[in-house]
Amino acid sequence: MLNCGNTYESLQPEEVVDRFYSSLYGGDLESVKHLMTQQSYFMTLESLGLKLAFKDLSFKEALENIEEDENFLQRVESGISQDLLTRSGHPQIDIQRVEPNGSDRMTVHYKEDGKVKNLYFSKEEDGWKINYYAGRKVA
Amino acid sequence: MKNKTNDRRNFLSKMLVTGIGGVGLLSSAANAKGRKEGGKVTLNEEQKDELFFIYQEEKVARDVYIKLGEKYPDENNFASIQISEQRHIDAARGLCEKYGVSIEGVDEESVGNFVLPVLQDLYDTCIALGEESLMDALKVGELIEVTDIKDLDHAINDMGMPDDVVRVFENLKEGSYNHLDAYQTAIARELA
Repeated sequence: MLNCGNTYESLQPEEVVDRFYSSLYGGDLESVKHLMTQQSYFMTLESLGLKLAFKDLSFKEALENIEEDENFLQRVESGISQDLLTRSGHPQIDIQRVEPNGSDRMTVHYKEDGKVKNLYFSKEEDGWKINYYAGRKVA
Repeated sequence: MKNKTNDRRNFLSKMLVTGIGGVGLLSSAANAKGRKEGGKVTLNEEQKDELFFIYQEEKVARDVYIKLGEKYPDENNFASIQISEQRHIDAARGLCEKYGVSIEGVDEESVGNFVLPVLQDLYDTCIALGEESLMDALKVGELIEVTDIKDLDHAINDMGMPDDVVRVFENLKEGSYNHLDAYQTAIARELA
């Protein structure tokens, strides 16, 4: 796990993709958090937490309130982190290319277990961050 | 913490909220109503990003219903609502085209495949949950429609979209209410 903010700032988008997957499947959401915009991080939690929320009403309540209450956020992060650790195997990530998109966006094209995937990035004050809303082609 | 994210679409958190809220007060951004350049209304960058994401997210709903319709062929709602969801995709794509929002990178014909991993994960989770039982599948449908309505409410009220975009979104929301009603009726039927 990385602890130094500067380390994240220096990462290039393709390095972030590798770090994202290794952190995610290692259940290390603290690192995942540093690799994404806050908006995309919460969206990631909401997607990953859906299965748990579907079966557990108290988790559902926590997931609904991650933005309002730090305790709920921690509960959700803990539950998802444990769930991620039970997932079998880390997907094989093969970076294909990095494509600039305007002056402050990038798209990393890669394959996840052979399937074509993209992660979008925006240049933030503290470096390149995964941003799910940055996929639109900028002229 | 909330201030930085209170204008986001809330994504699945909206899906998880029970009940449908009323229309909220217009935010300050709602006063923007697009921007006129030489008599032509244009969207700002944030509005364009929102439009593109809505287009991608509509595909998730359609694809989930296609897959669940294959799993439960006797449940007519999945078959009928997936057709309606295609209209939602068409409408969102139409707005993208009108406002010059590139939809490059989205393969509409490829059912169940998404280049953006968070949407792939969302789709995969909905399918996994829905495949457990017909009741779970109907609940997945209900949750998707709740999400759609909340997302459209946000796009209508908080993004300062131009009038024509708001009109399209209002129509889509009306459709989503009909879908929600259909799923809730089916859930009640299964519980009876």
